[in-house]
Amino acid sequence: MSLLSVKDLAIAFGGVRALGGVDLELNRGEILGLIGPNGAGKTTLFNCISGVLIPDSGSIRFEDQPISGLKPHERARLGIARTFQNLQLWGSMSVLENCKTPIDALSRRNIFADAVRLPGALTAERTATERARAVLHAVNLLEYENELAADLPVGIQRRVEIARALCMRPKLILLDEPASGLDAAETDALAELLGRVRDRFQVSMLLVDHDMSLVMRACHYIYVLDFGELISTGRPEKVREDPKVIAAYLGETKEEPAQPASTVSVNGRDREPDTLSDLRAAAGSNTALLKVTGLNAGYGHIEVIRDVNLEVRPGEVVACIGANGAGKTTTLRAVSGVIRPTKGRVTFGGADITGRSAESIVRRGMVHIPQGRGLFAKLTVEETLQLAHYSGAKVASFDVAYDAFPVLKQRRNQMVGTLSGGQQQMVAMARALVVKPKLLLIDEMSQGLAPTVVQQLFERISLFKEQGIAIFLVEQFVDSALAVADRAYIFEQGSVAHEGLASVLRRDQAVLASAYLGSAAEVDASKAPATEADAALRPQMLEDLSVKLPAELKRALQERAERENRNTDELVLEMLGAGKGSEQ
Amino acid sequence: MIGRNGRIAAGLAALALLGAVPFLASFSLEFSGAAAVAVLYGFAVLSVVILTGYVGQFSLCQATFMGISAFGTAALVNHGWAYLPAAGVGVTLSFLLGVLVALPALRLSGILLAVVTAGVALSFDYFFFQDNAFSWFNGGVSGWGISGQTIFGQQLDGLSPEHLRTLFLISLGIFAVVAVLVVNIHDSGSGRRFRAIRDSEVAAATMGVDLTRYKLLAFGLSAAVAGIGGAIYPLVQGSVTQSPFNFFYSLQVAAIAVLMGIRFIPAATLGGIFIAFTPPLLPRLQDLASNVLHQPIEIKGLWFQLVLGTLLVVQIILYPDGVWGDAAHRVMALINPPQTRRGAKPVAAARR
Amino acid sequence: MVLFETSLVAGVVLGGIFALAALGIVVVYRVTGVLNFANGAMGMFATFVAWWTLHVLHPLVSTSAEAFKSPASIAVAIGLALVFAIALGLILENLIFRWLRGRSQLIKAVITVGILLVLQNLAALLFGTSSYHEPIRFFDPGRCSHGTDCFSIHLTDQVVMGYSDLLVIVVSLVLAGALAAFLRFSRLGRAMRAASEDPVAASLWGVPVNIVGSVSWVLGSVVAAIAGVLLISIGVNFDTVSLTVLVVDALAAALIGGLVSLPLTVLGGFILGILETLPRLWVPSTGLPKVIAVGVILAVLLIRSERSLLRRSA
Repeated sequence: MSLLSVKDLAIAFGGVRALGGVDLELNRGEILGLIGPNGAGKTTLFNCISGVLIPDSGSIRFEDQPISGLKPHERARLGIARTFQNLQLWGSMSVLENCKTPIDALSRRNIFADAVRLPGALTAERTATERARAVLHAVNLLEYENELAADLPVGIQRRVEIARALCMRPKLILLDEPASGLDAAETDALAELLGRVRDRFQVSMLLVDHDMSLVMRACHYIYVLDFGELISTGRPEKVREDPKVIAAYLGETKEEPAQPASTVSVNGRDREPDTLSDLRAAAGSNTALLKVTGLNAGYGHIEVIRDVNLEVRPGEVVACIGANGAGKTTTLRAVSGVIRPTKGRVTFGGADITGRSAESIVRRGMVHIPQGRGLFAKLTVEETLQLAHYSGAKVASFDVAYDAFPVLKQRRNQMVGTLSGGQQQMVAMARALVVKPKLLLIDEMSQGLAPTVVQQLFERISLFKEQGIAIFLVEQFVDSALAVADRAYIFEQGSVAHEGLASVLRRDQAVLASAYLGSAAEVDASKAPATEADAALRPQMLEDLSVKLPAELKRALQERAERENRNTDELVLEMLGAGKGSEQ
Repeated sequence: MIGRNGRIAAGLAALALLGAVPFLASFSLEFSGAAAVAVLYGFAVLSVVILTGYVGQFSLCQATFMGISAFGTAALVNHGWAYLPAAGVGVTLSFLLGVLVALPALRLSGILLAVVTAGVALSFDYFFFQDNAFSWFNGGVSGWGISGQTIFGQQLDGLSPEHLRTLFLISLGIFAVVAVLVVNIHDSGSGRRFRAIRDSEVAAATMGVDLTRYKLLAFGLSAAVAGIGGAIYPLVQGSVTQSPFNFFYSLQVAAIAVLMGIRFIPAATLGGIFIAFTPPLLPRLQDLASNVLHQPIEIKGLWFQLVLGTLLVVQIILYPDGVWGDAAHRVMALINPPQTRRGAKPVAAARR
Repeated sequence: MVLFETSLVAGVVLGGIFALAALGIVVVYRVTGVLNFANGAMGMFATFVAWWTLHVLHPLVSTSAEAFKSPASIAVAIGLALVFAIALGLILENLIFRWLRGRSQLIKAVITVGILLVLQNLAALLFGTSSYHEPIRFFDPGRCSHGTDCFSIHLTDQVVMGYSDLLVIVVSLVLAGALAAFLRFSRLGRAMRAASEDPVAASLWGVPVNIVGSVSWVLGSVVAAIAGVLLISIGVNFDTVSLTVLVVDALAAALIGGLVSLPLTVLGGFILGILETLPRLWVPSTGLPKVIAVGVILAVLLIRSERSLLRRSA
């Protein structure tokens, strides 16, 4: 019997399909992972389940009861709690108050009783306090109970959100990117916490996260979404090896990585440099065009990047890759002046530009094409290019741009918002041709585009190179990015984890896979072969354990699992661990 | 942090001190009147603290809630009702109007709610409070006069200092009770739900808070508190006319609440005192300024809103937590030096 | 008995004023995200600068009575009013609103309430609170050589439309067109549209966000001033309050245009003007127009409002 059953769920925003008929089954006691690249529709699915968005079609059943027509608070009272990607704690309330609110939202208390402090209200208040403290104790947050939620660091806030959800005594918790903004240690602690919480509170979970190490470790079963549709389901180890999943994450199916030289020559390099110092010599200059030292930046209290160091030399193409939430975009934004760094220095062309306004940085010759392309839907192509005047373009003619992207010439009087995604990206890149900056930052050029279009765009990168424009490229299509790049930085959890020659990295799949799908050590730990017995065990055990079977039966089950295979499903392992702990 | 009971006790002690003021100072008619006016605007500002400070719903029609109760009370008294039941009806009218105004608030928030409530203030001002078609309600051009009313056998009309002083004490007592009730609500489950709606509506809804119910309740409650001030108004002034409940007074009430610190109950007391005592002080300031500068300086009542507007602009830019909020932060920072542990920062500093 | 047609003409003229006032609100909101409750007060103040210039300074002539009749004096007065409006726009953006970037829309709206109170009371202090002020007539019947109804056209035998009425309608349409053209075709206009869609992306294109903000505030202020001056030119009795509360009608019209669309805003202004005028044929109520304006606001908002919780909280 499934706890949550989603059938054929579809929703579109302004004609753009966000979910196109998604089915999902979640069993009792299960931690189900939901992964997929940016914009795959994961959070949208969450919002539909929790009632914040109304889907266009499809049904959602919870405990065999249709809940599509219920308001968010009614669904919450049925036992669906959730956390939020962008942290929606009640910041001005203490941690304890945050946890008491869902508790008393479940009980019917009236405001009059509260106002005059009737005995019933006081009793309820005490009960709520006790229960909230019990939950906080269980997740090791009791020491923070009197702190204001907004004053806590992100890692703690994420845990408070989980504690708050638990206080509703939910049957299902929807966890929306609980690891985003956490460092490696915090992520480890979180994975451990999720397992513990599941056992102790007997709650099922649906987990969305970009951090594969967390998903692979914590989840029993994984659904993979891309462009609003399911592309794969299965156990973590199976999903990890699914070519479709790898393609969705790493980009197009790979060309032969053994022959990078051919790709390189296409891009105008006559020899493949072997080492970083070779490359520096080849660039003919040791003075960096862009130099970033010890950069910290973030949003509000959330510090996303810490101690980022990197440099880009004139005329060089540098790729910047890493999992979502690793801090690539934040780095770009801090460099180009969109956000103010909290620490560190950025120099560009020898001048210190740390904390300067974005406008002034653009005029110094650094063009930043942000994620989502930074265009204006209601301006025409020609009008948009005319805006390049403000970026320092000297010419009034856009022939350069139209020559490079002939399709734009045909559509010069069309609104940018009506163009296809690829054409929009061309507009954004055409601006760079008109402006001729010293450095071009491109963030997720290929996001939401078809692989063939992406290939065309990558070919245009060489155009910039020919003009001597240095390029700093943040990219999800790793292989293509490495093919055009000279060097690459790999970001992990808010700072630069590796730096290397693009051609070398391109061959080193282990490093890449670890950056996207969790580090190598973790891969090994969970890479146990799944046996048939284990597969048969899964649904049965999960359900049995979560509905409070008698202790003997539970132990019997655990013993059976132990006898048959000590190293099977992660879940079983966790359960066994918990069971042993309580026996000793 | 001072405990809850400590804070309530301190607040009540402060109010008791205020209550003793008329006995300490040699009170004039003017002073007693201003003291009573301070209390009734205290109710108005308190209503903003509840609605905006606690629940995060911004309203520009709080003076309208006062007005409907003041007119309702006065009209009924003039139709022969006793004061207390009339006041009860007046406050109920405010409550109902509050719930009515809340209906669009279910679908709107932020600036659009501000537009709607500003519109409500203006239309009540021009229509129900001024228009002769509603003279049965607003008493026509001259409004309603009130005299010879009693509460608990006490003769109350705003003509003698003694009567005004009694009235001041009674209304201060009611204010204290209401303030304690509001604190109780703030600290209780209902209050947490209100604050949850303020801090994050999405989180509140998905954590089981019924937005509809609590938004309606918040508006009704806030309007009723403003209505209590409105019901006292006719006693203090001896008459009710349109002008103290017009559009600009609604803006003024909101402005003072924001200025004093919209999340803090003591700000209501500050706000009430500020509204009531600043205008009477202006003539004295005028004399003072004329003496100092050796030339006649004229300071009119209009200076009040002028200065208020200026202070509001400065406060929003420099001190986002308001007078009370900022002062409280500074005092707390003196008592408990800011903790460096875990990078905790005072809210005011963090927001700047 | 007022004729239906006369009332309709009056409604359209009033609508022209609403449209103008609303244009100022829309330009400022679209580009800077500030919903300006002080729009009416800004127009009021500039209007009173013009009135005061004639009344007290009476430039180029010796008495104030002459000044109100002298076209040259009137031109000077209006010039001064526009200069004041430009200065006010610059002051507001550079002293206040550029320091509030990134703060919530609500805070920005609340601060305009403070500005409203300042302007309103400052005006009352400087220009007095009397409820009668002499209108500034562009087409003074006193300059008529024959009869009293020159400077007007007869639409029918009984329905007369003054030149000043016509001027309101023409100016509102022309200004709306000019604003739209400015935004559409000029370099700065393009920058303003870009900034209004996405200020962050605009700054990445090098668009000078501060200048764009200043220009939009100056435009909003000047358009509000023009609305005020035109309103008093049609002979409506005015004081500091009546011009200030014009903002609610203007907000209603602006909301019809979704706070974005200039043509719809102008249309909304005219519709609202007619809606507020015609019922007075049957209901002799002074307060009814405001109730109608609020009814329009509510209706528009409830029809247009987003049902999604997420988008509202964003």
